[in-house]
Amino acid sequence: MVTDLRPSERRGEPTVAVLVTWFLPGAGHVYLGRLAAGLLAFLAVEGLYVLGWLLSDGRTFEFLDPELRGALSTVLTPELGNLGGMLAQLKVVGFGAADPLPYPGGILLGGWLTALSGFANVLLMVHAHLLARTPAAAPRAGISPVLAVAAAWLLPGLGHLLQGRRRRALVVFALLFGFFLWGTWLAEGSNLSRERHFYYWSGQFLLGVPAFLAEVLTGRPPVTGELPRGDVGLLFACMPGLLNVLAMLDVHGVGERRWLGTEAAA
Amino acid sequence: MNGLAAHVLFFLALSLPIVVLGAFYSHPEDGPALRSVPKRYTVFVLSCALVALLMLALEALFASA
Repeated sequence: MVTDLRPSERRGEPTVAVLVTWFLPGAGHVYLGRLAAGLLAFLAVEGLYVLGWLLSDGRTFEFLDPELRGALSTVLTPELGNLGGMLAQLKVVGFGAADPLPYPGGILLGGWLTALSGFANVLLMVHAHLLARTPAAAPRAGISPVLAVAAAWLLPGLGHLLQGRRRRALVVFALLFGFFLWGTWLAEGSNLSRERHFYYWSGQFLLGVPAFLAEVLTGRPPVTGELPRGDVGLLFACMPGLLNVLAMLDVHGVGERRWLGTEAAA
Repeated sequence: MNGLAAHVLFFLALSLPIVVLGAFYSHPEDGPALRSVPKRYTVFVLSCALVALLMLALEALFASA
């Protein structure tokens, strides 16, 4: 059993691999000597961002209220996962023209795609981190941490389930999905709109498919009257997404230790 | 239902996933994680209550008209 990896056994420095990937998708893989994988990853992640940018005309950040716009106002968005893409968008189009214009028809899908690009780059960072820590002849056990984290995002608890941690999977799913539904019910669906609740939507995005399906299936219901529990509903729907980050970190930590055979030493 | 009571109940409800996910993050094994939840929940709620009381006291001292 490997107890821990000495720096000399690593392919590279994991922190460097993660940081350069954050700024430029695929750069971590190139740093670790995986040129083809790095280029493919770059094309996939930036392709998603560019597609989203084209569909939305790069205007997703215009959903932010004017008084909230500033240098750091987009750091709480999923696009932050692809830092290079987000900075490019801010540099080229910023928050749009001073005069408001009608939004393009593809802005909602475009916003989802740029957000997805951010999360895809997070998965790429997870892979770069793992690759940097994996010696050529390292034992590999269990499911890949990258797949487990992706599953944990797609459906809360699914990552734990794939790791064979059934009871934890059930508790995570019941709590996070249950509170998201409760919140959506309290907010009468008003939470399901990035345009209406820019930051709360970013939290919900971290809940993966349930948030996406809820938005698509309800068609983002309009607000037609007073919402007596609207604020509580927003909080209840957003918080499970934020807590799913803890679940993903749990899945990642256990997954990487199992993959590298260092679980007993942890 | 009284507004304050409703919000206290909402807070107590939302505290549960916060505490449980925190416990899961701290303990890779289910048993120790779940066993730590009652104590963690109590500490979390009491700490939040303390902060709320402190804020109310500061408001009464410095921000009341």
